[in-house]
Amino acid sequence: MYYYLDISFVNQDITAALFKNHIITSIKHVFGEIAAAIPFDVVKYDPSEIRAIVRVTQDHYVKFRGSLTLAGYYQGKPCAYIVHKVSPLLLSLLGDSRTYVH
Amino acid sequence: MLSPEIWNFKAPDSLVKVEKGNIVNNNCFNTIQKLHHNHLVSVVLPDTLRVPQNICETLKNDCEYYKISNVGLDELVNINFINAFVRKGIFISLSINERIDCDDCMCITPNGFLLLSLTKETYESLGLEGTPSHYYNTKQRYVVSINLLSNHFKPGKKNYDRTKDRLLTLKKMTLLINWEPPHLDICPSSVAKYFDDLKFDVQVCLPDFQMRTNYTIKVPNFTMDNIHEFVEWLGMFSLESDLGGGGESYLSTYETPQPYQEYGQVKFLQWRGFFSSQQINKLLEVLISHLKDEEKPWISLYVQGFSDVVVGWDLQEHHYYTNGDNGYVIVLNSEDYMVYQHMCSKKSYK
Amino acid sequence: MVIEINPQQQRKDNSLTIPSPTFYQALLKKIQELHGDFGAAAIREGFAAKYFNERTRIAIVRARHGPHKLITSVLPFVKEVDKKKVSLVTLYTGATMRQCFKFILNHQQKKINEICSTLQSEEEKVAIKEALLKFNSTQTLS
Repeated sequence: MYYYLDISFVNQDITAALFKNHIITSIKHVFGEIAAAIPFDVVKYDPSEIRAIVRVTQDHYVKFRGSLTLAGYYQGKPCAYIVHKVSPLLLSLLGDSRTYVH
Repeated sequence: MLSPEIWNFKAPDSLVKVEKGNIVNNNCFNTIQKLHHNHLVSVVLPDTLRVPQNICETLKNDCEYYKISNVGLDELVNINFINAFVRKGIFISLSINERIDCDDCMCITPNGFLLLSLTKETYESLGLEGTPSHYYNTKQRYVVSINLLSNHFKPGKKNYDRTKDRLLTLKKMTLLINWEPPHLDICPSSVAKYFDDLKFDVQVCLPDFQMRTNYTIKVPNFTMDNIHEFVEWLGMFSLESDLGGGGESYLSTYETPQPYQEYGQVKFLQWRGFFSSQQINKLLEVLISHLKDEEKPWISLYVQGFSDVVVGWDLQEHHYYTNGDNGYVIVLNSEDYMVYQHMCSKKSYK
Repeated sequence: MVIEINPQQQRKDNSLTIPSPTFYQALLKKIQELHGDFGAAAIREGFAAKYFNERTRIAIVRARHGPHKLITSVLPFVKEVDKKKVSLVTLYTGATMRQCFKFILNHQQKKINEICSTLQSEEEKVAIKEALLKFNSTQTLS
């Protein structure tokens, strides 16, 4: 079973591959080389907003999210990840009722 | 058990219930009836060249709902209001722009209960009787339930006067309301007129409708054994993400589940707004009749509730942890249906 | 929680001198590498590389119950301590000091028997036994 995260990156425009690479780097920094091997997929990437939907197995979700929170630098510049929505059901990332303007 | 735990961190639980059955029994409507405040509806139609007009129209016509800004909650226990709307037809309402994990929320259920989910501070200053929330062991949140339809709930009775008086002190909220009149000849907008006459800022909202067509899509066959993969595929398709072109990819290892079939056109329809369960019911009826007319491998319907509503499934208390989602997927083919229910975990926080 | 490690020297000379702090640093570095900031922080509480017997090359590492799993997982990857190439073997994992000392005693006894079988004179055997069981091997045997 998977968990899906809708996240965006706050720094500069990067490509999808670099984006994934940076996530791996931050996992490696926080949880070391062993945890850096956890598999995750960038299911969808939107370069204009630097926003991605990432899928990670349930067992690794906590560590994954932990390292996103603690990611501090990208190429020496401060950066951050914003987690918009997280769900074990991918369909629920279709929309968030909290941010919808009626 | 290790202390401190260092390796095995479990993800927050969520509940999934899968149910299948025959369409003729109409059991699939039961699920819909359990979730009253619906925000998002999406439909996937594989192998479809033209979407019948009546499917698109079902959630567009007569699905206006109203947004009323800065209402004091005492207006909602006004006896004229209760008699005119809550008692007749089906009235649902909920507060927006309030988060259920940190703010005070309100909702009105179709069976005439006004429910408040309040933080400890608000609850203690409000002075109405309530119960501690199931999810917080530390009693940080309380739920107050007021039965608007009770026979004793009318002016002159102590309880009514006191409730109204206390609700006056509560912060003003922005509400969404959806009212289905008891007879067809009553206009649903009369509820808007009622609030407009009271000089509130009433806005009519139309559901936001989107339609999309994707060409040459690999669509997995629908069987009961790969239900999780199938629902995942629905998500992948609905979000327009990469469906796996085959071959090794650095970014994603996702692939369309086998066996699949390729269809020229797959339609995706989405509505967002505020829907009652009756409106979803109607849509499902239209979809079932559409299936009867035309040969389709399957049709799927996804419905998502509001994150910040006081009650979720079966009017049980709702909360927000990693997400506040309640939703369900219904997949239909010509004879059978499958309901994939997704619920928030009932575990309480430590 | 006590873990014993047997650093096996690449070259075949018998004794090996490594100061405890260096050993401690080497472990910590490896954990930082393999388990990241989180791992390093998790083990640091109550972490100690306690004791080093040059002759039998035994060290005791203390860690809390929980993070000890992190340490046992990185031990096979420790290749260098104090610029000397070593390989570590976990001999025993116990929850009390007493159990660990019991094990060491048995272990030493076995070692003595091994060494004694190669020796001729009785005096040498006694000397070795003394040296190993008193854990001050350097004095007696140098």
